[in-house]
Amino acid sequence: NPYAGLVSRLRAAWLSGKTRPVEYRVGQLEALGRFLVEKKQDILEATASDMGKPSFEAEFSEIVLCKNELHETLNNLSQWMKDEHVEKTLATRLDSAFIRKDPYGVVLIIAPWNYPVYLLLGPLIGAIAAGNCVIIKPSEMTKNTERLMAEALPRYLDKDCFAVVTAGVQETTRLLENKFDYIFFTGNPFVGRVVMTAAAKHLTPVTLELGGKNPCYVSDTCDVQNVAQRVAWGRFFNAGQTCIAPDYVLCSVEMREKLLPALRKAITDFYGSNPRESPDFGRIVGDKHFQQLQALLRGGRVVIGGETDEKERYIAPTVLVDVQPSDPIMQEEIFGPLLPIIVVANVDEAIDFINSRERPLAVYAFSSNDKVVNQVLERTSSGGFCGNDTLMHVTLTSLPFGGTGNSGLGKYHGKFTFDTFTHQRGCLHRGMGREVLNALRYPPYNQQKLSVIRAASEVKRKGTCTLL
Amino acid sequence: MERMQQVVSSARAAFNSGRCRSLEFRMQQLKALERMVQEKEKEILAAIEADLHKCGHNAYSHEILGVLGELALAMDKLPSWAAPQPVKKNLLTMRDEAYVCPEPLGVVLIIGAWNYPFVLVMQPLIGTIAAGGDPPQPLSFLEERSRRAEQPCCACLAGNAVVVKPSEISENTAQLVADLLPQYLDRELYPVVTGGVPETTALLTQRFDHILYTGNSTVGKIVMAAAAKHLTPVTLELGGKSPCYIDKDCDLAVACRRITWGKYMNCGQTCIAPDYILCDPSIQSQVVENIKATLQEFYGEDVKSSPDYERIINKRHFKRIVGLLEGQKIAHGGQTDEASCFIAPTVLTDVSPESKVMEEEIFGPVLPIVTVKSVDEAIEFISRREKPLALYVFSNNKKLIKRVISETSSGGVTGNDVIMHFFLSTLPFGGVGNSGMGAYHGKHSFETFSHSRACLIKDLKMEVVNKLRYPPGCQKKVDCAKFFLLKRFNKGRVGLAILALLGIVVAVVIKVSFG
Repeated sequence: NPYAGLVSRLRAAWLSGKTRPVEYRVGQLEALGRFLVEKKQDILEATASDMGKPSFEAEFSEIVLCKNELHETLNNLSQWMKDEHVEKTLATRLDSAFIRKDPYGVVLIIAPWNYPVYLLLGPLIGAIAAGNCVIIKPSEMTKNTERLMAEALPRYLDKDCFAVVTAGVQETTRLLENKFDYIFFTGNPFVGRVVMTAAAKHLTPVTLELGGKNPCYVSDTCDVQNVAQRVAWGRFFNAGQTCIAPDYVLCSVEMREKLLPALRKAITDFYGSNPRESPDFGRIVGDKHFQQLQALLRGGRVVIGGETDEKERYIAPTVLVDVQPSDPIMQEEIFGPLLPIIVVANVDEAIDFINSRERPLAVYAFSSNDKVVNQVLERTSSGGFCGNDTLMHVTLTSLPFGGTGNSGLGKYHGKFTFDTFTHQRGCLHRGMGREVLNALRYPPYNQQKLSVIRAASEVKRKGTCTLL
Repeated sequence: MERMQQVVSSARAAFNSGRCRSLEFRMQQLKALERMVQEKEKEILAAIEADLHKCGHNAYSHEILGVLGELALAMDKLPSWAAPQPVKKNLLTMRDEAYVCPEPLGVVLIIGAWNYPFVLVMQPLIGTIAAGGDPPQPLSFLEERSRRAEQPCCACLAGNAVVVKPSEISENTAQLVADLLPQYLDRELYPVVTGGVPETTALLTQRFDHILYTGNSTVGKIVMAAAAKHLTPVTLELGGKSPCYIDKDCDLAVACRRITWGKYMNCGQTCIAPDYILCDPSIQSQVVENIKATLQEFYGEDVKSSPDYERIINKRHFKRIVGLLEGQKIAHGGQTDEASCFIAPTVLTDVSPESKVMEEEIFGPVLPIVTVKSVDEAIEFISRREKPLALYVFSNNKKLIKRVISETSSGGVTGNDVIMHFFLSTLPFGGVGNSGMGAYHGKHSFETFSHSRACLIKDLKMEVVNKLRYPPGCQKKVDCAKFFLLKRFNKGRVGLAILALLGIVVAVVIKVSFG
């Protein structure tokens, strides 16, 4: 296997214990911080070349969000690493009982192409913080960013413990044949299955950040212009190539009629009358993806946008109506700047529509009536939920970020990333004395011993009297 | 195959019907389980005795006590576990509601093991029924906040549906569970499926929302591969060779007594039994003498006639374990009787690390002693092998114990005793590497069987603050965005008020500059 040597080298580094001390981890994380500062321009240029990412978007989503995670981690690392002491029972009252935060060992992070820096460094920060050695595999779809990572990152991080691997589909398959102690994958559900199947061969635990069709319900009572702005922003950010972008809108016919002009205005406010000329609107990452999106335009009726340019891989911010649930655009995650609007009679119908499909990564609901927002929240299931806005739940590192069902398993961001890459080891440290108490549990067994054990270990319901 | 499809779809339909929405329903199911354990205690103990030759007292303390404890804990803590947990916010979200809402996963599959056939099915079941929660009832923003403060249990609860598959190897307990559960619990939500490998394979082709499997690593891989097809998260409680290091500096009599208890309980058929001993050659014979003395105390002269000593589960395992004795130096025990699947408590000395008995998990009453010259050698020995489910170290030297813990990895640890970390439900119980993934017990069960859904509820007003993030972009906006995102607030009421004021001022400034 072409990567066996690399994996054993990292495993040897891991066994040496180098990555365990907090000083080492802090040093590596601070180096990552310097990378983000010193290579900021290169990151902006690389993402611009790869997918026409506007510098505002790149700075916000690739640099600021990473720094957020980094600061959160550096501020709290010693606290997170500490043994977590737990509540004890009567029998263990005099012992030391705690959860030890052990690193897993050699972990693999596979990043996607849509936020090639954030979705690579985000998990990496947690993996380093947790004390692991890491093999990093950036996406081959964003060639400039991939090259930047492969060339620059090793100059900042310890080469013994961290390696960047550039690999296409074939090579990644070979890479996955090796044994890792954890695999963190961000991508689509199809490849997610492949990764988990490969992981199963070695009993490697995984976190899979996948995707789905994130529904966006807009009720009749709402501030239409605000809704349109928030939805348009979420949909067209990164030219729609965001795993938590609102994928489609559900609303009544009346609301649709109000929403369309509002969306048109929002799009014009954001990108001007010709979004193609706006420096703030991105491009599609590759030709294949561009063609797939172009094909989706054939279902339904385009009412806003619809222009495309193959050379630039430009697709205008587009809104479609009269879309049938059976149309191709409603079969898979769109991942592009196309927003279908589907008509439903009321919130109940919207909820049924959502529940008849796979659990998405996010559910959005807009209403000035909190009851409506709560209804959608309560009666659906998804990775995360945002009421009256899109995408924003991702910026709060105290909220866990992850999917459920087809949209993924596991969660991260902030402390959750540290926890993801940590084995929580239950430890009980007893004394050698007080052996007489243990006599209760030893054979020969008899009724008296049993009665004492029962009395001593029963967890009484609060409010019932106990003599002990 | 069709039968499995039917069982799972009817469980899913029952889950989707939402009939288990109320806290009352879930508490009722847990209470019914409690009644079942109390009313049918005799039958349960009889089944376990038939399967494992385990006497009533032993079976009660190992299997029933734990279940009753877990039930009491679940019923007590359920409202607080299931309540939405508010989280720290940043400036940008300070006026919003941000919390984590535990939700049920859907249909969970529990595959039990044969060695503790009752508790290994019941304990996960309790956690699965308890887990999950509806988000709060629809209320206005402020009303909701105060209501939540008064009633932490306002999160009304929708539990998971569970398909229970007890191990066919402990056939009496499996049959009993299949008979009893439908008498006490909702039949559609908690069906029991009995059968062997073909039935389990058919079951695994169905789609579940979580699978908890207790068993060996080989089958663990099969379960995970099947789960991968549906992207089903798994908890695998597997096994391994749990090492037990005895330092020269320790009270050998006490240490050996505790080890003897943990090793030979259930005739060695315990996933966290001390599998083998590592110690200095100079204390090896003392260790053997102490174990011998303890065995005498526990089981008397004639172990075979002691009512407190179990038997090997079946002929296949009997033969497997007897095979491990080949070529070994038997310091104590070694007697066997195939007809009754009896293997005497056995100790082997000067065992070679390359021998068969040191290859796989023994899961029987055979205790090999491998000599090592120092704790360094012990640590190196342990680290070279697959990560075990449990690790034990005996020493008067606290520093040494801490060092062994820090320089090795395992599912869990007990220092100066064995097994006991299992009984503290505040500790997560699970493996790592080859010994498994995920954890459960107590609140950890609840978390395993629920989805932590991130919820952010914003206001439709205050749009002016959002202008920061909308195109057209510019450097000033980025700098402002950084300020809002990278600052935290958690400085109490006064700080909150000041920051709120600051936020409004900045918002106004933005409106003026960019509006």
